[in-house]
Amino acid sequence: MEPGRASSSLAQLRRGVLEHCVLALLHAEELYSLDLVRRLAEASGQGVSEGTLYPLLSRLRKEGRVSTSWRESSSGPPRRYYALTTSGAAALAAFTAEWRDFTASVDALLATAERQPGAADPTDPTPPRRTP
Amino acid sequence: VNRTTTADDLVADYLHRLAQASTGLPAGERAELLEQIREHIAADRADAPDDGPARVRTVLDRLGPPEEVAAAAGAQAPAPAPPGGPAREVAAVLLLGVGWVAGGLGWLVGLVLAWTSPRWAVRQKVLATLLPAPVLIALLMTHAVTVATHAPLAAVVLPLLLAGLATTVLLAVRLVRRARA
Repeated sequence: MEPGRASSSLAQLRRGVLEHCVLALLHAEELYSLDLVRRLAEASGQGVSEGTLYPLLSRLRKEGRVSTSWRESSSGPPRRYYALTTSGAAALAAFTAEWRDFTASVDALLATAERQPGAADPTDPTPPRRTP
Repeated sequence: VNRTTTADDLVADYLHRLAQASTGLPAGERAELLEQIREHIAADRADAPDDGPARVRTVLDRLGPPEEVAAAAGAQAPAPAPPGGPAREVAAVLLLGVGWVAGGLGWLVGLVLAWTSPRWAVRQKVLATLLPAPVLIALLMTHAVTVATHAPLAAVVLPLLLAGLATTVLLAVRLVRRARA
């Protein structure tokens, strides 16, 4: 497969799991928006603009997966903190279980392909053997 | 050129561009997005010991182009239904269904209306374009049949033309219904 296609499908995958990455980041602690967005952009790899993550946070808040509260800051204006709600925690647990199943199946498939030399390796010089 | 551009100017310019780019969003979502971005920039600047234009530029670069940020919000907001009734589509259906009989201009206007419709997908636009086809086919068949068989004209014209018209009307009704949904 051409490399462009592989990286594009990985980019789609990243976008798809992004909202659960938000929930995962908030599992341990409440984070204020700037901090949350920075960590999220780092976790989702190159090329993710921090600003594009805010609409995602708004949607999660509207869906009740996260809640927000304002806190005073020592060095500037009050800050908006994000916290995981009960519904968000449940969504995260469900996703975690499905994600584990999913990655295990994909890993197994990829491992099978690797064990069959030639089939998935375009650099292999030996031509495919013809069956008589 | 921008010798005197300050950090505040850069921020104001960024927020202005974001406000412009996000006019398509519902008012509440737009206000929230602008507030979040304003807060992001303010928090970052408050944390930094150096608050010069170069640093602020980095902050804005990491946020991404305002147009991209607005697009991300738009992609997640449900597309608002176009306001008003399907007047454009009804006009297009009338012009394409029967208007072409009066001349090419009516057909052309109908075509433009159909293809600029915000309520029809490409499929409906293609169907609207094909609206004159049933009657045209009926006329061609009438011609072919009368030439070949010398049958009395009325006996052939009427049923074929009726069938063509019925097909057009049926298609037109479905297209208008689709535009209303």
